[in-house]
Parts: sequence; C-alpha cells; structure tokens
Amino acid sequence: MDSKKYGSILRTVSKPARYTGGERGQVIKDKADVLCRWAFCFPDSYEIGMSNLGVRILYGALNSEPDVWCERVYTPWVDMQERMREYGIPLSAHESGDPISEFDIVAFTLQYEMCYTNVLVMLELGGIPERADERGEDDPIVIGGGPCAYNAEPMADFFDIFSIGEGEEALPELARLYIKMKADGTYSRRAFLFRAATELDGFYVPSLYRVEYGEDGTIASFEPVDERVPRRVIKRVVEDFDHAYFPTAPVMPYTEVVHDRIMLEVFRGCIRGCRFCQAGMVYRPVRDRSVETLCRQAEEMYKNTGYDEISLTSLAIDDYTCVGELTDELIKWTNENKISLSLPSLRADSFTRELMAKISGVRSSGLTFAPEAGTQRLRDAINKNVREEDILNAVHIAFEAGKSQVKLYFMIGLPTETDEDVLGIPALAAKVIEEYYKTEGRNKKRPPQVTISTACFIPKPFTPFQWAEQISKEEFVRRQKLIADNIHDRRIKYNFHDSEVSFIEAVLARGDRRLGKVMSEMHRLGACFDAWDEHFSAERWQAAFESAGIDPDFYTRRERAPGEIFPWDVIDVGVTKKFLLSEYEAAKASRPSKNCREGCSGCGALVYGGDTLCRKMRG
Amino acid sequence: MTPVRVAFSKTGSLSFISHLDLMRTVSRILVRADIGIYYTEGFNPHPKLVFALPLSVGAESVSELFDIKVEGEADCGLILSRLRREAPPEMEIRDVYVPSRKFRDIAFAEYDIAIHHKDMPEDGAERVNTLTDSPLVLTKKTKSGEAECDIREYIAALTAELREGDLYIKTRLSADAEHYLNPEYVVLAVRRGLGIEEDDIAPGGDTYSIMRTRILDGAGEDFR
Repeated sequence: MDSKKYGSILRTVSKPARYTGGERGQVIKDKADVLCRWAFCFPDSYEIGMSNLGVRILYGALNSEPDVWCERVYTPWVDMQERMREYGIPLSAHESGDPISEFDIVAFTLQYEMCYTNVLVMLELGGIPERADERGEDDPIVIGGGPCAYNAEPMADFFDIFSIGEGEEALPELARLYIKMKADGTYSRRAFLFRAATELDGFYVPSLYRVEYGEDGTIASFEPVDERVPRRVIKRVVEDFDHAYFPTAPVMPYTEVVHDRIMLEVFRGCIRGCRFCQAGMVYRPVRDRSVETLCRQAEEMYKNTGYDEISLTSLAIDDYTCVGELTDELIKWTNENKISLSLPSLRADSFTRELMAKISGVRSSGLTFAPEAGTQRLRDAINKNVREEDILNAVHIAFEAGKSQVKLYFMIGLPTETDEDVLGIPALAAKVIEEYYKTEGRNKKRPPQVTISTACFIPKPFTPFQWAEQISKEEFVRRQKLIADNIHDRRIKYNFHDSEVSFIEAVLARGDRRLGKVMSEMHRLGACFDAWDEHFSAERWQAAFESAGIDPDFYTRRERAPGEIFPWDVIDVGVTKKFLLSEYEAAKASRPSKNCREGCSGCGALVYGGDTLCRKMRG
Repeated sequence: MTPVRVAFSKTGSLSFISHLDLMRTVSRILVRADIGIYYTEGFNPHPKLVFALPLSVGAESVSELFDIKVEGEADCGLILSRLRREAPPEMEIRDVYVPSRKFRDIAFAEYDIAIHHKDMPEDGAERVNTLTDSPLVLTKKTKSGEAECDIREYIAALTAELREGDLYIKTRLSADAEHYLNPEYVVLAVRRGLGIEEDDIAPGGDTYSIMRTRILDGAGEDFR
C-alpha cells in the first residue's frame, strides 16, 4: 500500500511499520481479475495477528483461488485509532490500502473472547454498520470463525454468518457460492446467507434461528426459523490432513511479531481428552502429517523465510507417533544452519533424554511443563494423566542437560479442587527444587529457579466441564494468596492471572445472545484491547452489564442442570453431549479415562472418518 | 573469511521500519541468499552484521551501507544477484564489494530535505540560508540523557531554495561516531526558525521528507 496516504500521521504513532504493509510474501492481485475480495481481520494488534498460524493458512488457501483476493487487516493501536477518527481515515487492508467497507466479505478470526470489543472497533473504523440487521445490500458480508465461533452467541448480533470448524476448505467454497450468485444475478444478502446455511456444510447464520428464554433465564427453545435450515450445524474438518494445503511462503513481517518463526503443524486434534480443554475436544478426530511431508514443508519454509527457529506446533507434540523420526530428520540440517528446534507443548510423561538432546542443539531456552493441578487426585479428576514421578523425571532430565530454569503451569479453581490440591502446587515446586540437588551432573554454577504460573479455570463449551460453576473472584484471590503464603523459597517464583479478566472470559465463553447488548455498550464506553492488561477495565464491564440489565453471575456462578439447553447446542462438533456428561461424572469421582490410543471411549468424533486416528483404531 | 560491504537504498514504506527491524530483515535476507555468511560465535548465533550509520524512522536513504563476512573468498557478483533476489521491493541492493576502509573513517552524511507547509514564508529560503549565522540551540538527546546544544557545530553546509511554495534543503551534517547529528534536528531548527512549527498532520497537510543521499569521508569524498 502507498504509505503516503497516511500523510505525516505515521510519524506521530508508535511502531508505524505496523501500518505500512509491503512485506515480502504479501499477495497482490489485479482487481480486474478478482470477483470476490476478502478483508481478513485479526481483532488484535499486528504483532499478535501476524503470529497466527490459522490466519496464514486461510490467507494462502483463499488466495489460491485465482479470482479471490484475500488481504490482511489488524486492529490499529490506540494512538493510531485516535488519529484515524480525528482525520476521518477509514480502516483499510494492508495489501491494497482500500477501505474494508469496499470489500465483498469481511472476515474476523475469533481466537479469544477478550478480542470481541476490538471487532466492534474495527467495524466502526471501517464504516460498517455494527449490527447485522442494520446492514444493506452494499455492505460487506461479515463472517466470524476460529475457536470462539464454537460459541460466539455474545457476538451473534454483529455477524451475518459464522464458519464452524476448520476453514481451509469451507471458506473457498463460500467464496465460490458468492461469485456464482453474483454472476447469475441471484445474489442478495438474504439469499446468499440462506443458501450458505442450507447448501454448504459448516456455516451458521444466527439470524436463521429464534431463541426463547424461560423464567429462570435459561434457554427454553432454540429453533430454526425455516424448516429448510438445519437444526444443527456440523463443524468442518479437513479429512486428508497430510495433503491439506499448508503455506510454505508466509508473509514476512519487518517488525518484530510475537511468534516470528517457522511453525510446522504436525498434527491436529489431541488423543488426551483433558476435561478442561476445549481444543482437545473440538479438534477431534486426531489427524497427523507424515514425516516426509513435514520435512519437505520445513525445508521449503526455511528457504522462503530465513527464520532461525522451527517450532513443532500441536496440542501435545510428544504424542506424535513419529516424533523421534521427525526430529532426527530435522536436526540433520538444522544444527549446521544454526536453526533451533522448539517443542512448545511437551508432556512430562513422555519427555526423554533423546528429545532433550535434540532441542538443546542451538540456543535452547528454559523448559515448560503443565501439570495443571497440584495433586494426583485432582490430576485424575481433570484427566491430565501425568504423575508426579513423570514431572520429577522430566525436570531431572532437563537439569542433567544443564538447565536450571523450569516453568510449571497450573490452573486454580478446577471443579472439585480443595485447599489440599491448591497447597499441592507450592509443594510440587519445592520437590522440583529438591530434585535439582539430587541430580548428578547439574549445572553447579547457577541456582535453580522454578516459576509457577496459575491461570484461573474458565469452564468452556464442548468440554466435560461445560456444566461446571466458576468459583468467585474472591475465592480465586484467596487461593492465589494461599499459594503465595506457602512458598518459602526465593528460588520459587509465582505468577498468576487476574481473576477479573478470567471472570469476564467465563461470562463470554458460555454466554448467549442477550450479551450482545453488553458488547454494544462496551463499545459505546470506549472498550478496546481488553486482552491487554493496561486497557482492560473491570469497572467498564460492570457498567456495561448494569446498563444492559444483565447479571454476569448467571453465566458463571451456577452449575448447569444436565438437561439444560446451551446456546452452543446448535453446533455439532462430533463429540456428543452424552459423552461429555459421562466425563463430567467421571471427574466428580476423580476417575481418569483412556486416551484415544489406548482405546476408543466413544466420544462421537468417529463420524468424521477420513484419514484419522479413529479410522486407524478401527482398522 | 572475507569482509564484504553492501550498499543499498531504503525507501517508501521501508523507511518506517526501525533499526532493529532492519537488522532482523537483513539477517533473514542473508540466510535466504545462501552466500556462506559468517555467524557470530556464542550462545545465540546470528549473521555477523554491522551498519554504517543509524537512520531515523521515517527517513529514506539511497546511500546505506552494511558490512558482513563470508566464509572463504567473496564472489561479489554472485552475492549481489542473490541479495537482489531476496530483498523486498523497497530495498534496492546497489553494490557489493570488498571494503578497504573502516566505518570509523566516515565523517559526514548529506541529505535532501523537503518541507511542505501551508504558511511557508515567501522569504523562507533566504532565512534558512542565514540560519546558521546565529546560535541554533536545541535540546539534543545524548548518550547521557538530554542536553542543550548549539547544533551549528554539526552542520557543515546548509542551503535552501523555494520551489512552488515548498522548501528544498541540501545539507551536510557531521556523522562520525562522536558527532552524529540526526537530520530531524535540522527540520526542527528550520521549522522553528521560520515559525512554521504548527503541524497539520492530516493526509495532504503539512509534511516533510528526509533523504540521505551520500556518505562522505573527512576529505569530503564519497565513502566506500
């Protein structure tokens, strides 16, 4: 884009390189050849958005269609927003510099609930009417997707349509339908949305469903307005994951972004079934890529980027059956090219000396494990299936290799958690320190350092804990203090998440359409960048709840009845409600269950067939 | 191992990337170019890379230099074509050669500055041409904080002319390691001197541009 369009404004804002575009790898097309223009919006800053692997995949997949042009858009930082409002500069796409209001389709990826307020800011800056029912024939179609789309009901008022599940095949199909209807003259907003909902799989149009509420505030009925509209929307999955599209020439940011490295997507889904984890349920069934495909993609990406780090991304990388073979193949050429390998999702129960050696070749940093809970009883209840001896064995290996820093991630407020479980967290950290001094061949020059981080548990849709209550903010604070008061060692550091933020996330995660009023009110009150501590305001959220007449505790502070109709029941992710409920019961009995490789638990994801672990299990 | 010097330009939207961003961008170009680059030793190996002069964010240049080292003999023609293949459009690789002098021999840099302002005085050029007759005291950032400083001692030459209401300045500023003057200070001094400080930053409003045109040695010859 032509940076002169901003005049001298770029000199007055922080990090202007976020707005100028022109990066290597960006896709430029001739508008004359293009029949469907997408503005792909990431509702957070450039640095966050450019790091997202999903966006890279969808940007490439859409641009693979010759007559579709997908461009990138990010939330301008607050100083830039101020200037844009002052001088009437509309939000525009990076590649062409055209205002997003001129696009056919404006897409938002919803990666976390706290980005919702940014969506409304971007619509406003883009000059697009906020509510879907206010948009006219000349306005773009506004579509949402990403993990939060599994229950984006709090944002239902603002979206014309949601893409449910994996988008790399679904979004091009939607673009093709748009182009076809424009060409044969049958296009109107209503007709397009109706056909997308009824003819394509994986598209949810909120305006085609009517929701009624009972006296107790829960949903009494959630019905399609027309019998041709599916009662449930089936999520999309890519069946042949090994051959699925994967971008090997990503856009190269000039300025530093959060994840600035080669990301290899080794597999999708997770065999584990931790009961708090939404990703572990909604990305089922498990599908993996072959070592051959991954090695080819890694080499292509290295040649195209010059990055010095390869990150093997997946939900639990050491669950990949060929992790040894893959890392062996990669280090054949990564070490000599000064490329470091990082495995960001290691499980303590399958961490080995061999893996340790491979990741410490070039500039290796500290290690992180996620026991999630402080006692075996609670780890069984959440089905984490990691034992204390696994954790101590894993840190032993790390210490032996010269590491002295270990990070341990936990959650507090998990269902069935007692003070004994909470106290297990500092106790485990103390045992890790002890293990350090038991390790022969440790790095004697440096004292050990263990960093404990606790997140506040947020019950999520499509997990066994979707029925569970979230503990109060005060109780979170008490448990955080209990941990802090029981650390008697300066070599143990303690960080914790703000319970105020986690409370709002919990409201939105399991929220319904009535929260749309709260979101509009938040926008009116100037909310933006709520995912950033310095811009989050608990008081503003409180004011928005009050003015919308909504009691947020309704969404967090009650255990749901087994038969309650959830706002997200309209979505079918394969995994059944019956299975989730049985897992919830097992959690209450502190009873773990099998992982997918040990045997099928009958979760329901089997319906997707394809080239999946489910199919391999069945033979 | 052979030292290699690369001359390049940095224009358009690339002018808005910071020095650190430029370092990162060039490092990756060097890796992709696959030219047997020499890496720093130590815990975090990265291509050995030294830039001649800093350039402020927003300023353009057709006269930038960086030094690298390559393993063995240097095939400058090959390196030039490889770097051109990998550089982004707004970074033009102009020359590649084995240097005979060190960056510490750099004494001056020359700039073209253009200033547009709705209230540009008609005698703007004459007043800028006599600007250095009296002290130009500005608050200048130094290594140890901020200090009041007469920037005239850094200005070797300053001439201006007015064309179609816009002011065009050519200036030569000291650029050795101890006495580097950021050309932004000259813009500030000129605007202050002409009483046109008030900024209308809207697109199409008041603006200025800076282009570094040459890097010179102490004798006033092009530094190579």
